[in-house]
Amino acid sequence: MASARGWPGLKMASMPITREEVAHLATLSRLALSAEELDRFASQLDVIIAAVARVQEVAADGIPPTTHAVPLTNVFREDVIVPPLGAEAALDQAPAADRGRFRVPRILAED
Amino acid sequence: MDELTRMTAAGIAAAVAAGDVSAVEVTRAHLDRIAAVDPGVHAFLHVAADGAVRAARAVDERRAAGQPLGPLAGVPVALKDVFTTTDMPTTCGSRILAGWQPPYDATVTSRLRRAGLIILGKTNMDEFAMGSSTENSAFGPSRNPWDLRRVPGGSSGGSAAAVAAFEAPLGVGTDTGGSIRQPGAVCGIVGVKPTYGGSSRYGVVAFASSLDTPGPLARTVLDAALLHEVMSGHDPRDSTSVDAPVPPVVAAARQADVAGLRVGVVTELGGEGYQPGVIARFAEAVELLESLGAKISEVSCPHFSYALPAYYLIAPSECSSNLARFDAMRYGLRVGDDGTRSAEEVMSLTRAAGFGAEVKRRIMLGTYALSSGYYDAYYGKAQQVRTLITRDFDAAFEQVDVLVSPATPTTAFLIGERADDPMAMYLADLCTIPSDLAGNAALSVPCGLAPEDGLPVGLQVMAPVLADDRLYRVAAAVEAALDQRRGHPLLDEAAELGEGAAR
Repeated sequence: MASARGWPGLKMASMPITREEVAHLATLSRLALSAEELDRFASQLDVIIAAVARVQEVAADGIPPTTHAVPLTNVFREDVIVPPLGAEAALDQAPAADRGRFRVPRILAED
Repeated sequence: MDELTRMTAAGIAAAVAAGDVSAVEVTRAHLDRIAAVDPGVHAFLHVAADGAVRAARAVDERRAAGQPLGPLAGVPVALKDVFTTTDMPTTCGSRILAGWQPPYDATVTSRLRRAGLIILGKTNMDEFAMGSSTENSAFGPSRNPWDLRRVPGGSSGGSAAAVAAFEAPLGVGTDTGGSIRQPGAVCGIVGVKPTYGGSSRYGVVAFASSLDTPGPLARTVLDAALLHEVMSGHDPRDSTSVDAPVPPVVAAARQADVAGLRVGVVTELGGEGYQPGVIARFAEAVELLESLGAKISEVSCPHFSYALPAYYLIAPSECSSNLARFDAMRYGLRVGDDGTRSAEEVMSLTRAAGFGAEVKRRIMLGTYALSSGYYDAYYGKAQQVRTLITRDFDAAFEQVDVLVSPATPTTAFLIGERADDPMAMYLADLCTIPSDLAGNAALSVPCGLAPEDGLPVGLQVMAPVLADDRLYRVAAAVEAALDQRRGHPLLDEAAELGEGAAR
């Protein structure tokens, strides 16, 4: 389904991404995908990754990376005490709360 | 249509200040317009009628008490649903945040309120601002007021559609890869991406933190400048906020003069893949600038052709990290918490159910690009390309004061046309991405209709970091000359929306 028409200078190439790799990425990303989604995303991600791999064509030896648009050093502000959000406001939109705390599912799996 | 909804923001503010009309009357006129046309346009996810009237009444009371009013007091505004609001839901167009009512206001929200602007409601967007059409919204697409079968652009498509449909004179959006300029261009209005850090990200639900930039949408250049000035400026709550005065954008919009200004046409942004009508209108706009006294030259920015691939590594990488916060524990959706499943299983089921396809694709793409073994080849390389693009801009701005290009390669496309084709969708931001990567200032201003489809074309203007005022000089000059030549504003040529018709 996915096409790369019109992406400037695009040469379809290299390193296909497998369905197994996509399943691993989904696990790392905490996404419980269906079999149908894995199939679809595998073919789409394959095309997208081939397209973005074009950055590797650029001769960039010795070029420093830019992490942020505007260079910044450490930013400080005055150490002024301001009222915190408060437990009630923080819990107000929680999916589940219990005695002033977030209620969460058990942390450890059985296996 | 009520005449009050045809007025500019500047005109409304002046009329309210003079007592010719009350803020409540203005607000009610816009709420009526929303009730009449939004069933067809679907710009809004939430309309805050009571809150808007209350805020308007407060402005009228301040005026009656002789208190000073700000330059946009009493003017309605449509706020993208990515800005937190304590009195309205904030969903980011996602099922995972459906109905979420944040405990604090974004800095932009607070500044709008303090300045006496009337927030009419929250506007539709591509989920978490990822997309160029609003088709990635979990709550259905918005529609382009010029042709309801077409997209209004995105991700800030709801705000752009609201302004173009006269539901609000002003809109607020965010731009990460073009999400203000592209919808502005295809809806025939003005959309501005300020310099990165010029407007606060505090309370903006994060997509790609090194790129996200809030900015204004409006029907006139002056209105955009007035909103730009009200919503921008240093914010100690955003550590990347620029601690410098807001550039004199309102004065520049009033100056509207390009005599002697050096304007560079970017060689790489044009040609193959661009719609003929877009190219034709852009070329006319350049000729117009020359006739107004600008000095035109062509400038090459050789690395711009790598901007799109670099962006689709950097933005997904940041998104995969930012969206990890949607863990089903503290707010938002929780699925499958039946007492048998672990937190990790609940998290995975919730994210699978709560995120749409594009968000899932980008999270996985970002996770891939940041994986050990791939990091240097993808994310690291993309960051180096980002440096080269910034250097291209630096070299260009040694020769010229501003750069220009088409804002988008095509006019508004049909709803559904690119929905299943991510790569084709990504092309919509081809011209806008370089300025996001470099963090400089850019806008889109309407420059006519493409003859082949009668749809709006945007002229993009780009200026160096913190030279946002230059954008407004150029855009205001173009707008004034084109309005004069045409005899009326471009939006007068849009078909009147069938009021009450839910198409």
